Amino acid sequence: MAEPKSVLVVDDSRLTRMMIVKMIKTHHSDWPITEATSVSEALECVNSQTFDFISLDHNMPDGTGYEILPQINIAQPAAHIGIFTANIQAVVKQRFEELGATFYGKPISEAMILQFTADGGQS
Amino acid sequence: MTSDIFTEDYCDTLCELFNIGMGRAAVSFSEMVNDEVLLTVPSLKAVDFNTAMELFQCISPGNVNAVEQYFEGRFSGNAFLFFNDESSLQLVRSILGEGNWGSELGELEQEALKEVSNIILNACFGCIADVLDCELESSVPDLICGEINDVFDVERMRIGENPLVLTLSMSFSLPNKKITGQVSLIMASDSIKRLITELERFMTLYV
Repeated sequence: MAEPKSVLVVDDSRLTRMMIVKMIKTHHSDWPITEATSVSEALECVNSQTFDFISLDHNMPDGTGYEILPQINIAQPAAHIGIFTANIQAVVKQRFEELGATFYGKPISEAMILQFTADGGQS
Repeated sequence: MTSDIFTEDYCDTLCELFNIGMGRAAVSFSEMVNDEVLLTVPSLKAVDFNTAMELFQCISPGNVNAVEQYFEGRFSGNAFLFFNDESSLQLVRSILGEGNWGSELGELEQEALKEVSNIILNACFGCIADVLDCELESSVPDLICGEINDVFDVERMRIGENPLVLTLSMSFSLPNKKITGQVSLIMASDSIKRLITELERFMTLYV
């Protein structure tokens, strides 16, 4: 049986966190999931634990995904990072992809979460 | 006063739906202005009608330009997108290019403002309807220029009893131009209850 993967969900919207957690738990009930509601909470998490998957929002009250992603890349070089944002402009997508993350436009769907958790988790 | 029935959880859920809608609208808007649109984090408050009037009079003491659309489906109400005079002119200049626009909105500028608002409000309606799996029809946009009392004219609006105002504050800006818009929904209490039913049905899928 595959070893459980650890997940960090970063989003200021409670609804989005609930949706992502529920969708992951439906398919991987044994995966531990940590939630962060802000950039500062996310930085605390990535500097104190190791994650296999990180879902990251872009627009948050205390900062943006652009600002935090380079720091996450340094702290969690092995993590697969998915950007889940409502800001679906091509230039935003391109910028995140250049920073090495996979881009997913909200609203979140189960297919999107399945793809996210399938990507990069086989190492 | 803030609403007792429209709790923080409903505000969070509806706010996220608006956030997604605004993200969709930003794609169309950025194509119109050929530039990236920067979006801020939205916040949503539910207040009674009189409180909303007082709030708006504090925020926008002068003239405002509001585009109004009536929406109807399992729940209904009046949606408004507000811009103050300066934001309206900035927005029009971004779309139509720099020119001799003066300090007032002419016919072409009014059309541009209505078109952008139509895109933004319909992106929000579309997102709410898609996610909550219901259909919402909207009327053609109408531009109202004047003071808040002119915009929130209870005789013109088809609002029912004990209306509640859901106010979403979100600004979008272009490089070197700050344009702040505010979306408000006015809904009668029976319609708010139907919206809550839909939000609850949706939220229980993820609890």
